[in-house]
Amino acid sequence: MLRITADIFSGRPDPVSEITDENEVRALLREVGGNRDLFLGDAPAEGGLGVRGFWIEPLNDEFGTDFGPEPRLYLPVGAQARGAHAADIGERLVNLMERGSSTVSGEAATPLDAELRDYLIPQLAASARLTVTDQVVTAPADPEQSPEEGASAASCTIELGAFNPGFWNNDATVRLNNNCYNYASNWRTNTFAQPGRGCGSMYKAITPDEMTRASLCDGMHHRFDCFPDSEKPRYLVALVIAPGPGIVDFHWYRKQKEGFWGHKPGGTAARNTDNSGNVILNPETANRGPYTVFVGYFYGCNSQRQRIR
Amino acid sequence: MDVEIELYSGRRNPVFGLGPEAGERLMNRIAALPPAPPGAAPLQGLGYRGLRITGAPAADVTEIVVSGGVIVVRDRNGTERVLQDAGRAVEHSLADLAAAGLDPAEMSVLRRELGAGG
Repeated sequence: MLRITADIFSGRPDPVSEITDENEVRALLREVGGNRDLFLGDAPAEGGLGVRGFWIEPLNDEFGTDFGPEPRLYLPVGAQARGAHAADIGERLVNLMERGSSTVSGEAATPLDAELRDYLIPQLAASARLTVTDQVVTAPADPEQSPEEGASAASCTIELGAFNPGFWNNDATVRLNNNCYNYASNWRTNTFAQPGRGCGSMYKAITPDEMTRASLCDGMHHRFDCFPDSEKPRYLVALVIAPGPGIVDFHWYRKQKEGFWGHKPGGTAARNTDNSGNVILNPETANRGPYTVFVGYFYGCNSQRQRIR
Repeated sequence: MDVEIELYSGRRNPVFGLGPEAGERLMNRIAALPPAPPGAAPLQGLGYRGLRITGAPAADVTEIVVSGGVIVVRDRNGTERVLQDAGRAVEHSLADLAAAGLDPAEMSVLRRELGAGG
């Protein structure tokens, strides 16, 4: 058994949750062991307001080998994070806390419910993200004009997240039950999310028009139909379709902070390479196997990702 | 035992069941296979990637992946054995068993991919 405490509040008890599923505890401890440099033995002095970090502590000695000599460890997040991956481990801890038991040894604790989760997760990711301007520049009408002088046809401010395949791949339950739409939305539902299901109007056929309709229904926008700052993170994603015969399906890619595109083919591992093994710099020209129809680019947003099911 | 045919990305993959006798025959067959050569790995990416078997009668086995001439047997401790499926024979026989329950269009993908790969 493992206890997780979110270090959030100043004047009221912090949320505490106990995780009893041994497989989940072991999977988490493997991730902790592989990212030990992100953890501290104690909380940093300058925590600031909002979510500051998480305490994790085993409640029995069976996990001693996995955990190491420390009685408990602290994961700083947000401005104090010791690496981009801290946000993803933090998100995993929040999701575990929501599923765990908030009944803790007779102490008064705030339960970590869906509302608190939705408040916490955008704050965790803040340090792992880059905010950039997404724009297309039209060719200058005057051939003497330099490309830099060309008029900007459209632009929006968007976010690019750090590529972190471990979040999707290290835990078999997460890997098997989250698909390309989960990855593009950067939201783990463990439901193999389907466009439109969250808004109550799932696609009825896998065609460009119908998949676009369902995705917009969930809250996505066409590229250059900007979202306000309140909808951060606003990811740039791309939709493609396998039209058949044989495989009739959809697939999504998400642009990453590092400049390439990440994706997750169904229940397999998230990656940044195409069917030829090349890093994906352009989803339009990447080797996509049977997914030969490039439908277009979209923006996801915070309310969209929370809506997907 | 359940056999999942790894085809899709957005949609759930088709799954069919293997009865106890067929399952036992499969496990015996896999137990007799030699190790795969170094570097051999299952198919990856978009499109057909092989077959994934769960619910094997061997208590410690959590997952078996049959893909592209390689069979990966994973156990509860996180260790895996990579075996050689010469001529993709096990994959072919599983595809034959899948034929009864699979959509004809999906079956044609399997036949095409297995034909192309040996």
